[in-house]
Amino acid sequence: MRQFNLNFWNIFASFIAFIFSIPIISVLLSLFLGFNDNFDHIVNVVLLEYSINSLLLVIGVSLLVLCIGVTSALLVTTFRFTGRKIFEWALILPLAVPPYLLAYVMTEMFEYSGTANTILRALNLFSEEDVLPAIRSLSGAIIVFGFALYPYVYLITRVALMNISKPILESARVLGADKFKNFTKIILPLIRPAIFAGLALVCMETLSDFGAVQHFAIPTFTTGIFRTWLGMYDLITAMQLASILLLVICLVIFLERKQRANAEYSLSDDSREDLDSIELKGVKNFLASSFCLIPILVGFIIPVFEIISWSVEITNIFSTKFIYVSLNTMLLAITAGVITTILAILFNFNLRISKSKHSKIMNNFISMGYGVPGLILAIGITHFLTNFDLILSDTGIIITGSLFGLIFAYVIKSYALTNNVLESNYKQISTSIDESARILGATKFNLLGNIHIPLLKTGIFTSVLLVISEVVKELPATLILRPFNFDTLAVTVYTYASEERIYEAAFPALLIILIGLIPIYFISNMIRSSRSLN
Amino acid sequence: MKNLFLNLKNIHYEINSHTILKNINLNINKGEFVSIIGKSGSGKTTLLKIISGLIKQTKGEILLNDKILSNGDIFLEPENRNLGLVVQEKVLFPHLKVLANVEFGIIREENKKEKAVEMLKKFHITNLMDKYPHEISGGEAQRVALARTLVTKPKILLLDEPFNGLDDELKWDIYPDVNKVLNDNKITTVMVSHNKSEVKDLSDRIFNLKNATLKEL
Repeated sequence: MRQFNLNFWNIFASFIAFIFSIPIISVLLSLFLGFNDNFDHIVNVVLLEYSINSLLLVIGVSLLVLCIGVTSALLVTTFRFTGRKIFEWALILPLAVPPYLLAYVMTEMFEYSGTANTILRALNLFSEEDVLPAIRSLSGAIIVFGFALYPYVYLITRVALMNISKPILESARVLGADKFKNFTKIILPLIRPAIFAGLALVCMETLSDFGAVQHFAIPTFTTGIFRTWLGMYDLITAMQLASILLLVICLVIFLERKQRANAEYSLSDDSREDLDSIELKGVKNFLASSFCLIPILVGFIIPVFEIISWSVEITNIFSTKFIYVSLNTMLLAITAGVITTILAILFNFNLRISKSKHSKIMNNFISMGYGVPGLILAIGITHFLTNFDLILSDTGIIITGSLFGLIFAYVIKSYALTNNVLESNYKQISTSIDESARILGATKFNLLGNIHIPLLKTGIFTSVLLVISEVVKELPATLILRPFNFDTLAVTVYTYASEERIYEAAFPALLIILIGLIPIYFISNMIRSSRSLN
Repeated sequence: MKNLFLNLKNIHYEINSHTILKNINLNINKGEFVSIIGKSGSGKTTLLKIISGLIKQTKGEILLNDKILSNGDIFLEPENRNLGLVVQEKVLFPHLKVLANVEFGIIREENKKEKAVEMLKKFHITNLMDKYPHEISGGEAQRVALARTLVTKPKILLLDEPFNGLDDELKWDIYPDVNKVLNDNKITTVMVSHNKSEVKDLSDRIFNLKNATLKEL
């Protein structure tokens, strides 16, 4: 790696990193602005409740996703049973249903006249008076988050299991390790970093969520921040609360990185070979299939059918509002996708050409935006834009409340996705191609425009699609930063759910799920191609 | 043959109707170093895996010191055979330091560390004991793999082209250490290689595996 040089690319990288960090710095600086009466009130009255609820939620969800995610990954990788080939990819499907949408579906289903109670009564298992326990509770939220977020743990654990070298396990057996010792001393330690990485993502998503906890009326940090800002109209105290949440999330990221600090767990590709799988028969076969089917049913199939059943109640499918919010959403999503992808191309091109350590650090830094909750980004951006407007004009708002802030938030949140795609695509292009092009007289911009971009076109397309699917699902930042009277699919679903008009949310919800299936298609393809490489 | 130690009788192995090994008969005496050479894909690795118990032969019988390891009715799992296998792939446990890797196969808890350190000394790699596998070179990794296998005092050492991928200088640097440890401990060894010149100085007998059958050279 080369050291820092004052050239265009390094200045560009530093500038982008600075712009990306502004919302975070704005939020963190609030800790030095002094604490007012509202903050004292929150600390004395509700902070403990926010902390306990958030903690219980994270612990409960973690245990549930560990149970579902790790077990299902182990089952589909190490055993052969009925439906295994389908479960391999179907277990990722719940990723298409964001937690707030699953929360709305579950609430509707568990109402007195909801689908769940109606079915139980039709089967004579329930009388007219009987009703299932209310889902709008902390334990209900744990179930919702658990079934919506377990695919993170499943996916990362599955990939880690597929990467375990068969010769390593064979060596352990020849050295005298029985199957139990092989599992506890070799397999489990090898997949532990992956499990923790998946768990860290789940913790961050749970702590960042606003829609589901708001719907379930569970006071957590995010609902507290929202209430402080838009209920008490105290942006500074909301930012101070957001800073605490941000520090907790930084702690999660730090712990995840620390626990894998010294050991190298990745294995070279030359030793990869599919692990031997054991065939399950009879009861074991049934139990394995059932275990894998339940999370898919709860996290995807049932919600989709429930939402389809709502849509039957709607007469005007393509209402003007639906078309309007769909166009708004696609406009935002495509714009954010294109901007984020252009940034990722420029960063990765710079890294390839300059091999600058500074640019590498900057690239890693801005990729961390993925972990920042949308609500915190929205608060930081609002604070920054408000101050920026005040500098530009004494009279009014210029940028605050425009689409600029919203797209800015989406770009920060989605950069890591596009970077990952383009980074791996760039690795597949031999550097000798660059050398040949340069020797033949191509400038750096010719190289980028005429050689790299045509070679990266699949990656570019994929990264734009991934950002689109991320943006379509995003709720808290959109809710806060959208211009007045500008709705998106997610906001429309949220509004209908808040107004108890959930049936009208059917088509926007189905469209969110449909677009959410895009990354799943790519992830399944990625796993399939890595298997065929083996 | 009074020193007969490992006895392979009519070993046959086929997969998807494709015959890999056909009527393999091999008798190896205690303390003997036997090499099997053959082209890539000739079935050398399969034969070692059958001896170690990682795969089961379609037909035939394997006896070790007159005890049946595997036949049509009996199959002793690899972890219960007390054999050693060193292969060409990177097989050090990546999450364990070198010392812990070498200690892995030692069953008895007492003097575990001393035994491991003693074996590391024999291969001149005590300086590596606190390092992770990714922090050492390919040649060092193969020394560790050998130390890890030999510390378990295996009845037979199976070597599957363990020095493949190392440059010649490094190979000739390792051979004397390996030879000394094997001779000192009178360990019966079966080594497979695609290169006759690589094994001729180490071997008491050399066999050629060709067209699924084995012939002594």
